[in-house]
Amino acid sequence: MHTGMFDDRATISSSRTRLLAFGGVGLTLLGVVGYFVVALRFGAALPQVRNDAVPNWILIEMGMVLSAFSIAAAGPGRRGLPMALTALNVLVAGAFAGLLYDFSAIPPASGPSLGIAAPSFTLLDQSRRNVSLADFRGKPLLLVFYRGHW
Amino acid sequence: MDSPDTNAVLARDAGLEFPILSDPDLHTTDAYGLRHLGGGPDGQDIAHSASVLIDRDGIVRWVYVTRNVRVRPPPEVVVAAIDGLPAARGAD
Repeated sequence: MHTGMFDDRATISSSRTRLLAFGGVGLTLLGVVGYFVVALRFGAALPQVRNDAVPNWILIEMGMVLSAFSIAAAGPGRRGLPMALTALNVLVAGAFAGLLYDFSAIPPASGPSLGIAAPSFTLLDQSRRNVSLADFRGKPLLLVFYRGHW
Repeated sequence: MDSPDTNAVLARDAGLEFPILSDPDLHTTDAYGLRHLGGGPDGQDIAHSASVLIDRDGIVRWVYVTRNVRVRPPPEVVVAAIDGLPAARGAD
């Protein structure tokens, strides 16, 4: 009778640990995969998600908290699974940070100096018409250089 | 650096109404100091992602060059830069 109660509690505790451990990894993966889904599909409409990935980092931090709780909730001698999943969680988050801030970093370019006359140009537009800087005299002009459509 | 035909497809698909210019030999990109050496998918040179705001008199007033391929200027920053331009001469 006494032993039976102890077993029940151990089972409840280990299933809670497992839920927390897998939930933690799940939240982190949701944050990472969600970034690429949202940034690739809706990046133009959600510039803050694309630039700073704020909601994604919130999900990842929640995942980390669940991972920490899963280790705390595990009984003695039962920390192997939560520790392994927490390590996986840290690895995934680290890889995401590396991809976001290191892999996609590019060397700086100064661009034109402020206060100078903008270099003139005449280039073909999408209808093969010539467009020149001089066409925009008297109007403000925003020139956006982009990396090509690929 | 895309061809006018590629840009026509992009403009149609994305519903863009402003001119999309083609700078195949990167002369204009060079004039603006924005060549990204070897930055393309096949190692070819392309342009840095950048925005350049030019006022009514053809003077460069604001420049944003990204340091990360994912990052673009937030729209409110661009709008603030445009709002910061001096009004047309004689208008005020």
